[in-house]
Amino acid sequence: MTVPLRVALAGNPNAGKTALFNALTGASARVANYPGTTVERREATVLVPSGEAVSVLDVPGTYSLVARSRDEEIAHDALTGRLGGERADVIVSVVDVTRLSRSLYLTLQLLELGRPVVVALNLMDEAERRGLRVDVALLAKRLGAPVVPIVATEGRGLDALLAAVRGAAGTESRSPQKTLAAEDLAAVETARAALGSPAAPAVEGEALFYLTSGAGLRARLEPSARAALEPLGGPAFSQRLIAARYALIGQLIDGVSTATAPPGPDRSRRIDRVLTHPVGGLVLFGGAMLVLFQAIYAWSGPLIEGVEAGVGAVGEWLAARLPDGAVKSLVVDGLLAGVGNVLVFVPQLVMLFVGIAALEDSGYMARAAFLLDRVMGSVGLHGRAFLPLLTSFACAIPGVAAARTIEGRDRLVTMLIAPFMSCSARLPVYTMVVSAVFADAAPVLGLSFGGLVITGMYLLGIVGALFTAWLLKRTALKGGAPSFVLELPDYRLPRLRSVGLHVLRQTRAFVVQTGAVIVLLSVILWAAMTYPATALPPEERAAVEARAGDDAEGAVERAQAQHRLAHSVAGRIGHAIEPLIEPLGFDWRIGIGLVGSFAAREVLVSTLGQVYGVGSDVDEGSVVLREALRAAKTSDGSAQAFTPAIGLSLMAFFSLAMQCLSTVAALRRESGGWPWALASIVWMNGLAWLAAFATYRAALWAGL
Amino acid sequence: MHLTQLALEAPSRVQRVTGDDSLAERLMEMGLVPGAEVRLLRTSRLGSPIEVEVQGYRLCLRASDARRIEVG
Ligand SMILES: Nc1nc2c(ncn2[C@@H]2O[C@H](COP(=O)(O)OP(=O)(O)OP(=O)(O)O)[C@@H](O)[C@H]2O)c(=O)[nH]1
Ligand SMILES: [Mg+2]
Repeated sequence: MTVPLRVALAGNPNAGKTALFNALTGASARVANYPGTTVERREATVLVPSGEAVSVLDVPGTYSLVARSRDEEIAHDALTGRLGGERADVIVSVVDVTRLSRSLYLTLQLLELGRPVVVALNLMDEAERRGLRVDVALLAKRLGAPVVPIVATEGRGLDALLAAVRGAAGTESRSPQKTLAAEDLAAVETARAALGSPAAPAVEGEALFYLTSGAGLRARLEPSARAALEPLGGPAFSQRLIAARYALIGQLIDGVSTATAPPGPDRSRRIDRVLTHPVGGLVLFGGAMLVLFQAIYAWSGPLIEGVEAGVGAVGEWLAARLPDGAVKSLVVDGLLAGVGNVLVFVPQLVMLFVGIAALEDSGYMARAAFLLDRVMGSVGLHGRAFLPLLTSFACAIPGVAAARTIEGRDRLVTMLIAPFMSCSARLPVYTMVVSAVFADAAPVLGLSFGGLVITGMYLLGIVGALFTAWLLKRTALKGGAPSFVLELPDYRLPRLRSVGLHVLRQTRAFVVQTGAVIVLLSVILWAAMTYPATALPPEERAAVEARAGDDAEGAVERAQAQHRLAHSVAGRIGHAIEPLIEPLGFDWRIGIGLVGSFAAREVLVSTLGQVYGVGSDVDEGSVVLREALRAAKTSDGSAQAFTPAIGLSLMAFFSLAMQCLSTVAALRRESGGWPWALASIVWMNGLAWLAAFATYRAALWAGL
Repeated sequence: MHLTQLALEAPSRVQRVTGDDSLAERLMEMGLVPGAEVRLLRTSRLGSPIEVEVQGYRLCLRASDARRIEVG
C-alpha cells in the first residue's frame, strides 16, 4: 500500500476551507459564516477518481503564518510541520476571491515555504454575482503556482483542483520577488545560510519565520544559528516585510481582477445599515433573542404533547404486557419514564439549535459581536468572546473549545465563564419547573409568563458570567483591555443543508449522550429508591386509616409508598443533604434529584419524575411529570410540595451551578490542568447556592 | 490624523501604524499597510467599536486600537 498524498487546506478564516474539506471528503464538518469556526485540525482520507488515496487536512483559518492564538498555532504546525507536526505534501491555499488582496498575503507566505502550493480560488459564484471578473491564467503566471477556480459549497471545480494537486506533488514553489531594502535582503540571505548551510541555504519562509519571531521561538535554534540571527530581524523588520508583501500583492493583482458592476453599497452594507444601527441594532438583537426563547417555550407545545403521547402509549403498551413486579416497575417507572422525560425536550432543543445555526450561517453573529463589544469590553473581555458564549447556549463544551480564537489570558477568562450560559441541558429543567408552577400565570404584555421566566434564567446566567469575568480581570487574570479585530463577513442566506446537518448532529449528540446517562442513572436511581424495601409500621398504618375515613385503601397505599421511598437508599441520601439545601427551600426529595443532576443536569427531570411519581395520585406508568409535580404534596400531605418559590430557587440554582462532568473535563484539557477546572466547580456552585438562597427568600417575601 | 477621526465614507490612505507590538503587525497583516486605501464606515453609539473598509473587505476594530492607525 502506498502512503496517501497529504494535502493541507490553508486559508484565511471564513475562506471556505471546511466547505471544501466537506466537498472533497464527503464529511459534514461544521461550516458557518463566521471567521473562526474551525478551531482544531481534522483529517479524512478519500479515494480520488484515479483510485489514488488522498488525505485531506482541514485546519483553523489564519491571516498569517505568525501564530498568536491557539487556533493559529494549530494551523501553523499543520502547515509547516515546524513544531513537530507532520508536513503536508501539497498545500492548497484556499482564497476567498471576493477578498483577493488580503487572502493572497497568506498565499505568499505559503509560497515562501518552498513547498508545493496550489491556489484554490473559492467563492467564484459570489464573484460572478457581483460582476467581478478574474483573469485566472494571468494570476497563475504571476504567482508561479497553479490557480483553480472553485465553488466549494457546490463542489464545482474539484476535479481540476485534484488534478492540479497531483501535478504539484513533488515540485517546489518560490514566492515572487518582493522589493526589500538591500540591508533587509542581506539579512534574509544571512539567516538562510545560518539556518541551513552556505551551500544549501534554508528556504526563504524558514528564514523569515525566525527573523520575525521573538526570542522565545529562536531559543529552539542551534547556538550558532541563534548567534547569527541575534542582530537581525525584529519588529521594524517585520513591519517592512509585511508592507513589502502587500506591495507585491498590489503588482500581482493589477489587471487580474476587474469589477464590471458599478461600485456602490453592496447588499451586506445595506442590511447593516439597519442591523448594526447604534440603537436600532441593539433593539433588534434583543427582539431576536426574545423571539427565539418565546418560540422555544410557547410554540413547541404541540410537539411536546405529541412526544408525551407517544411515550405514554409505549408505557401503556408495555405495562399491559409485562407481568407485575420488579421488572415491570423498572422498565416502566425507571427506564421509560427516564428516557421519556428527556425526549420530551427534543423539540425545544431542535428549535434552539436551528435558531443559533441559522444566525451563525447568515453572518449575523459577527455583527452581534460588533454590537456587544461594549458590553464585553466593560468587563474587560474581547468582543470575540461573544461567539464562544453564544455557542455555549447549546452546549458549553464546544463553547470552551471555541475560545481558542482568543489570545492570551482572555481565552482562559472566556473559557471559565462559558459554562454560565444556560445550555441545552438546563432548558429541560427550566421548562419542567415553569410548566409545573407557572402554567396558569397570566401573560404579560402578550408574552407568556413562563417564557419570560425562562428568559430571566438565561439572563441570570449571563449576569453570573459577566460578574465572574469582571472579577477575574481584576484579580487573578489581570490584564489590559484586549484588542478586538474582527472581519465582518458578507451576509448569506443560511444554507438548509448546513443548518440541517448541524442541528441533526447536535440533537443526536444530546439524545445519545443523555440517553446513555439517563438509562444508566434511571436504573441506579430506581434501585436506590426501591430498596431496601421497608413496610409501613402497623401503628402508622392504623393512624392513616383512622384519618382517611372513606378512601382508606388509597391513603394507606400512598403512605406505604412514601414510607418506602423515605427509607430507601436514595431517601436516606436525600435526608442526609437536606440541611445543606433546606435554606434554598428544597426538601429531601429534590435533594435526590440534585445528587443525580451532578452526573448530568437533565437527569433532574427524570429523577423528579420518579421521586414524585411515587405515591402520587397520578396513574401508575404516567410519564407526564408536570402533573405529578403539581399534584405532589408535602410529606404530611397538607400542602403543595412544589411551590413557585421553590421552583424559582431551583431554576436559579441550575442557572449558575457547574454540574456537568464533561464540561469540567473540557476545562481541564483546555486550561492545561486541574486548578482552573476545580476552581470553576467551587465558584459556580457557591454562586448558585447564594443565588438560589436569595431567590427563595425574595420569592417568599413576595408571597409566592 | 488617525482612523477614528475620518469623516464617514471619506476615502483616505494609511500613513503608518504606530507601535511595534503584535497588534501593529496583526493590523498590517490584515491589510492596513502604508498606502492602503481605508474608509470609516460606521462608529457605534459610544464611539467604539468602529467599522472600516480596507482591501475590499470590512473590519471591526476598537477605537483604542484604531487610534494607532495614522491616515492622511
Ligand atoms: N457562495 C459561496 N459560499 C461559500 C463558498 N464556500 C464557502 N462558502 C460559505 O462561506 C462560509 C464560510 O465557510 P467555511 O467552510 O466555514 O469557512 P472556513 O474557511 O472553514 O472558516 P473557518 O473555519 O472560520 O476558518 C460559509 O457560510 C459557507 O457556506 C462558495 O464557494 N460559495
Ligand atoms: Mg472551517
